[in-house]
Amino acid sequence: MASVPSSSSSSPSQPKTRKKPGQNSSPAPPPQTKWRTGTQERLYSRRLVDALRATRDRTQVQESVGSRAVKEAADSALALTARGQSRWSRAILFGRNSCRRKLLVKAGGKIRRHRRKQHGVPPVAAEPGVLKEQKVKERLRKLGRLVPGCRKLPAATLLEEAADYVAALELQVRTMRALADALSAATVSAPEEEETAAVDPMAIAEQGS
Amino acid sequence: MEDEIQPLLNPTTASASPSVATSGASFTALLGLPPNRAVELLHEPTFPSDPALVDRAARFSVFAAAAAASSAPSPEVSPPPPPPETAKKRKDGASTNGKAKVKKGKHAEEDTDGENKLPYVHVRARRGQATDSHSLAERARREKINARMKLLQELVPGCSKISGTALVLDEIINHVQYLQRQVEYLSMRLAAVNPRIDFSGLDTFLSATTMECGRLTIGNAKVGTELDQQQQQPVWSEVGVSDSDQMNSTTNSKRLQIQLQQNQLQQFWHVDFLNTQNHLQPSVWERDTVMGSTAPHVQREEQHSFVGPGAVPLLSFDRVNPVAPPIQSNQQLKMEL
Repeated sequence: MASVPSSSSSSPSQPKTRKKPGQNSSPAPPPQTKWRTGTQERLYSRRLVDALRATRDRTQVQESVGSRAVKEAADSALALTARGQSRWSRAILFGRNSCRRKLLVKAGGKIRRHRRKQHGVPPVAAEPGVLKEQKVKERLRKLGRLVPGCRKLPAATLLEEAADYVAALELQVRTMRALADALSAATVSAPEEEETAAVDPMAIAEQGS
Repeated sequence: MEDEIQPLLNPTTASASPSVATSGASFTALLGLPPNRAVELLHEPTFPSDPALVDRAARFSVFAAAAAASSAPSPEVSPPPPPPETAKKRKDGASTNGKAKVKKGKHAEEDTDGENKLPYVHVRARRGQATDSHSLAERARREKINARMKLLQELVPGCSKISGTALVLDEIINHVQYLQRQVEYLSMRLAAVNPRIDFSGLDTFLSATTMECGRLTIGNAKVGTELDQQQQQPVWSEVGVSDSDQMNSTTNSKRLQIQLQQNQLQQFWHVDFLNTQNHLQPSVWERDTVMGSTAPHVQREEQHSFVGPGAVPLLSFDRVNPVAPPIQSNQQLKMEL
């Protein structure tokens, strides 16, 4: 079944990478089951650890690791775990990669995070029915802004991405919380434990990464 | 109720039998009814034979404006001939009921139920199915959107109760923002904790034990008992702590019922961590257990045999002397073992 270990339905979800809308929905696993499996958790936790370690090594030792860097690392790890099968994961990965700012700076001029609502919010509703439609559209747009890389998507795709994103975020929160708790517990506890425990796993970790 | 409908129906469908009429042969009849009556009609016990129709009926149950449905353009609506099967009839009844809200435009296409509870709705001239390509496409699109919405609703806690697209979306947006805030907060915590720890392998162990001990043992389901005898899955007992073994055993026995989805994947994971301790067996015969056979024999040897279900490249753990080629199918594994 799986040559790819990351997702429970790896083979069925592979067609997702091809952008055929017809094929997309049928083999795609529902996000809850896809993101809740133990495999995913382990995968992600491992990636997270590696990413954190890399982050820590990357920044200078004396200064503490910025929380934003941690967040970005965590998000990238999450996106990686998604194997680029969802738009938001691709957006995250490629966003980090090319580092949008550099591109924009090269284009000349300052980068302005244009938050201005260009259209404004058209409050005019032709009929009472249209008002609701507008509300829904507003919400959808807002959702599109929240999910990375999903700003200009049609509603159906957007909802799909949002479902996947929510499931992935839950996994991320769960993992990070466990990790943070474990780490803080370990810090609190006696240091000897850490060393003895770290020896063996260190070997694997090194080889694993 | 039927009596009321009869006279209304008579001019339109004279030949319609009472049952047919009541189930909504013509929307005009329903339009003539006061809203509550129509709703009753809708929820007639005979009506919802088809769950999909019930669904539709439920959706169209916002009938408030039906009272204003005074204008019954009977000439417009070509009274559809009584359909052969009841289902179609009923569906039509539902949809026409739903459609008979406030404004009855003279549109042939149906308005889709994607716009939940819109006060105005196009009235469908046709019955049952929308043969217009536009409406078909529209309806398909709406259904897709609704399906995804439902999925999202299940995902986000507390959304199932809410009705109405806008509110549900609100809830979803709030949830996403909440999760993102959590991520930020946790990343802050992690950043604070980070520098002080060796955290190369320790946290792996810790997080594993805290989070996933049970889940790791998914593959063991069938052979739980034997599992206990061997050293189980010491996936996380790499630290070699005896407690972990015991813990694993208990969790194993507990989690035996966990669905064995990705068996190979789990083995892959197990192999990864089984490197340290030299008992790789569990993963191997986990696979067997999943396959449901050959478990007993496999236990001892086969340490490095199955290795990798091809998932290796992902984490690139090379320690696992890959005696076994990436086996995809169970049979192959069996033979190999």
